[in-house]
Amino acid sequence: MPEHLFSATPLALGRLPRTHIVWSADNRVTAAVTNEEQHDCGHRMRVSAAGLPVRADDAAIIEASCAEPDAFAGLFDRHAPLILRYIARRVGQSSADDLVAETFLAAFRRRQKYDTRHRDARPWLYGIATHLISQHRREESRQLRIRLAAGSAPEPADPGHGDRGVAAYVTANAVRGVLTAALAGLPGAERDVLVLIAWEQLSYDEVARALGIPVGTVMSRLSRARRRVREALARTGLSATFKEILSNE
Amino acid sequence: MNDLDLITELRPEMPLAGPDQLAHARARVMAVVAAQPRAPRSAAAGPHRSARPGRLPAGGRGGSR
Repeated sequence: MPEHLFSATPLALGRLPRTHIVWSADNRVTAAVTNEEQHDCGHRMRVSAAGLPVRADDAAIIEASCAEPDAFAGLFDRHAPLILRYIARRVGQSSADDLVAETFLAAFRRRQKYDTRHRDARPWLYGIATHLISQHRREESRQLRIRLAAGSAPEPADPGHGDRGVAAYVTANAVRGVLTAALAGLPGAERDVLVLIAWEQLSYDEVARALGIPVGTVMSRLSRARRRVREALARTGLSATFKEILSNE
Repeated sequence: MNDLDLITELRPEMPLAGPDQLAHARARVMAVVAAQPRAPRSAAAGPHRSARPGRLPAGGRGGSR
C-alpha cells in the first residue's frame, strides 16, 4: 500500500491535468498518473477504472519530475537494473556503477526535452548510456580482450560424447574467440547497433531512437557489422561447422 | 542459427542488479535530484516549450535525446 499520495499540477506541461505521485513506504516513487478525462494535450495516460493510481508509464514519470524532481526516482528504480547490466556487459562491472549514475544524471538534466510521445523511456536511456560508453572505448576493448583471453564459455563439467564432446567444446570456444575478436574489431558505431539488437533485443525503431539516427542507418550499420562477422568466421575455416557445433552444445 | 544468433550467444549472462547493488548510484543521482529546487508552477519549463516567449522553437518539437 502506498504510504503517501502527492498531487501536483505541473503547469509547465501546458494543459496537463493534476499528476498524482505515489510513494511507497521506503520512499520510492511507484506511480505517477493523471486522470484521463481531464487530459486534453494529446498524451494518453493510464488510469484504473476505479480511478485508483496504476503503474505509470515512463513519460508520465518524466513529466511529473519536471514539476516535482523527486518523481525521477521512479524512473531510476524501474530501469537502472537493466541499464547497469547493459553497461556492465560492455565495459565491465567496475566502470558500470559510475556510468549508470552518469546515465541517469544526464537523463535528469535532459528530462524537460524528453519527447513524451514515447511512453517507454528505455531507448532514450540506452542511447544516453551508449553515448557514455562511446567515451570509454578503451575500457570496452579491454573488456573484450579479457573475455577473449579467458575463453568465453565455461568448461562444462561433463563435455559428453567422449573425445567428440571435448572437440566440440574446443571448437565452440574457438568460434566464440573469433566472434569476440570480430566484435572488438568493429567500428564503434556498428558495434553499438549490433549489441543493442543482439544483446539487448531492441527493435530497429528503438535503436534509431536510442542513437538518434534514421532506421535506414540502423539497418545499414547492422548489415555491415554482420558482414564483417561473417567474413571473420569464413577466414577461420570454422564456418562450415560452427552452426552444428554451437547448436549441439 | 545465423551470425546474429551467434553474437547473441556471446552475450555475457549476468543477473539484474538488486537495490543493494544500485544503492550508491541511486544515492548519487538522488542527491542531485534533491538539490534541484521544485520549480514554481509559473516558471517551470516543460517539454516542447519555447525558450523565448513569442518565438517558435528553432528545432520544432523536442527530440527524444
